Amino acid sequence: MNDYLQLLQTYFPYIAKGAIVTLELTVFSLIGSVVIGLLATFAKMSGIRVLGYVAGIYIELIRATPALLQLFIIYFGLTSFGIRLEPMAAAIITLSLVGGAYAAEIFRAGIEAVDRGQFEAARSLGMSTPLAMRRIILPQAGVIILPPFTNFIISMIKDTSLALTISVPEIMYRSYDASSQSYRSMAIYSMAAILYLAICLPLSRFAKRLERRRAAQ
Amino acid sequence: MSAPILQLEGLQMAFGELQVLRGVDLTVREGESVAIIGPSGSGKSTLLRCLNRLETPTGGKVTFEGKPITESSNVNHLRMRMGMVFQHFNLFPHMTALGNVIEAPIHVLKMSRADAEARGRDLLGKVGLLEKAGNYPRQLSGGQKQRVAIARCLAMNPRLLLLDEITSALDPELVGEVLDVVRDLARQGMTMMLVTHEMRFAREVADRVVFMDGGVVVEAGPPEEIFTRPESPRLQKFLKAVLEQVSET
Repeated sequence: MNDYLQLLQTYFPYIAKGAIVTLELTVFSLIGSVVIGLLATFAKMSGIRVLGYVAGIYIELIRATPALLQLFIIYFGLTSFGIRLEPMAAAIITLSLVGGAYAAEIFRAGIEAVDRGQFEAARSLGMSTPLAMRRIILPQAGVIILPPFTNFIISMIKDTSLALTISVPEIMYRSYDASSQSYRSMAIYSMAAILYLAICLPLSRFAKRLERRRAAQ
Repeated sequence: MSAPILQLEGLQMAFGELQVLRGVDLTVREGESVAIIGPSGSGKSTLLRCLNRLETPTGGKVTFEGKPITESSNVNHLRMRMGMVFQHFNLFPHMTALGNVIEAPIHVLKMSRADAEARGRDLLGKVGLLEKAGNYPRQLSGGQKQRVAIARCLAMNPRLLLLDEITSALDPELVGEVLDVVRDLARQGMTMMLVTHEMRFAREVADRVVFMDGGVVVEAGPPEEIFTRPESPRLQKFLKAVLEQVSET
C-alpha cells in the first residue's frame, strides 16, 4: 500500500497533466465535429444533388474505416504530399472528421424527429427555410438529440486516446510512458482509468437523466 | 358583388401516378367564406395546400390578388398574405402562446417586439386566451391550442385564411369554442376557405358551399341550396351518409 502511494506521488501528477491534453483534444475536436456535422447535414438535406453525394460519400468513408487508420493517413500519409502536421493538429483534424460523420447522423435523426407539421406551420407563416430551421426546427431538434449527443461526447473523450500512437501527451501516452519506466502496469493504468472515469461518469449519468426525463414526458 | 381575391382555373395536382385534383375551377371573392365539403380522399385538403404552395400544383392556374401564385417569385410573400390553420395545430412547443403569435411578425414582418406583443395580446384577447399568454402549448387544451393557432395566423394580417379541418382533432366538447372564433371572423368579413366535416357549421357560417368528390368540384352554391336541394346524385348520397352518421351519435 505504502508502495502504491509512493508510485501515486511520483506518477499521478505526470499522468493527470495528460488529462488536460485529453480535454483540449476533446473540446477542439467537438467544435470541429459540430461544424463539419452541421455542414454535412445541411448538404444532405439541401436537395442539391452534388452536395448530398459528397456528404454521403464522406460519411460512408469515415464510418467504414477505423479511426486509427484515418489518423495515420493524416499524420503519416500526408507527408508524402509535403504536409507535415503537428501531432496535436493531426489528432484534432482526424477526430473532427470522424466525429463530424457521426454527428451528422445524430443531427439528421434529430431534425427528422421534429414533426413535419412544424416546418409547414413555419413556412405557411412566410418564414424562409433558413429562418424556419433556426427558429423552429433546430431548437426542437437540439432537445431531442441531447441524450445521444452526450453519449457522442463520451465516445469522443475515449477516442482521443488514439492520439497516443502519434505521441500526443494525453492520458494514455503518459501512462504508457510511466508504465514502461516503472514496470508497474496495473498500478499505473488504474490511475489512467480513474482519470477517464472521473471525466466520463458524470457525463453518462447526465445523459441517463436526460433520457429518463424525456421518457417521462 | 366584391372583387375576386382568388381564382382557380383547372387546378390539377398529382402525387406521382395518383391524380388527386383533376381540374378544379373556383372563385373566392373578398369577404366571402367558402366551405369545402366532401368525402375523405376527395382532395379537399390537397386543394388548400396547393393554394399556399405547401404542394406544387401540377397543372392549371391559380390567381391570388391578381397574380398567378405559381409565378410569384417569392413564395414567402404569398404565404404572408395567406394564412393557414392546420388540423393538428402545429403550435411551436418551445414557445409560449404569445411567443407563437409574435414569432412571425417579429422575424418575417420585422415588427418591433413591443408592437408585436401589443398586437399579440390583442389577438389572444380576441380568441379569449389573454390569460394564457404565458403558457406553453403542452399546458393548453386542444381547443385552446387551435385558438392560439388562429391568433398566430391573424397576426400576419392575412387577406385570406385557409382552415384545414381545424376541429377534426378536437374532443367534441372543445369544437364549439373554436367554431365561435371562426364565426366571429366570418362576421368581421375575413375571407376564408374552410375544409370541414361540420355540416351544420358550414351551413351556418359559409356564404357558399363547395362539394368536392374525386378531385373535382361536383356542385357549389349557397348553403340552403346545397343542403336542402342537392342536385347531383353524388352530393345527395354524401349528405345522406353524413346525416345518418349525425343522427346515430
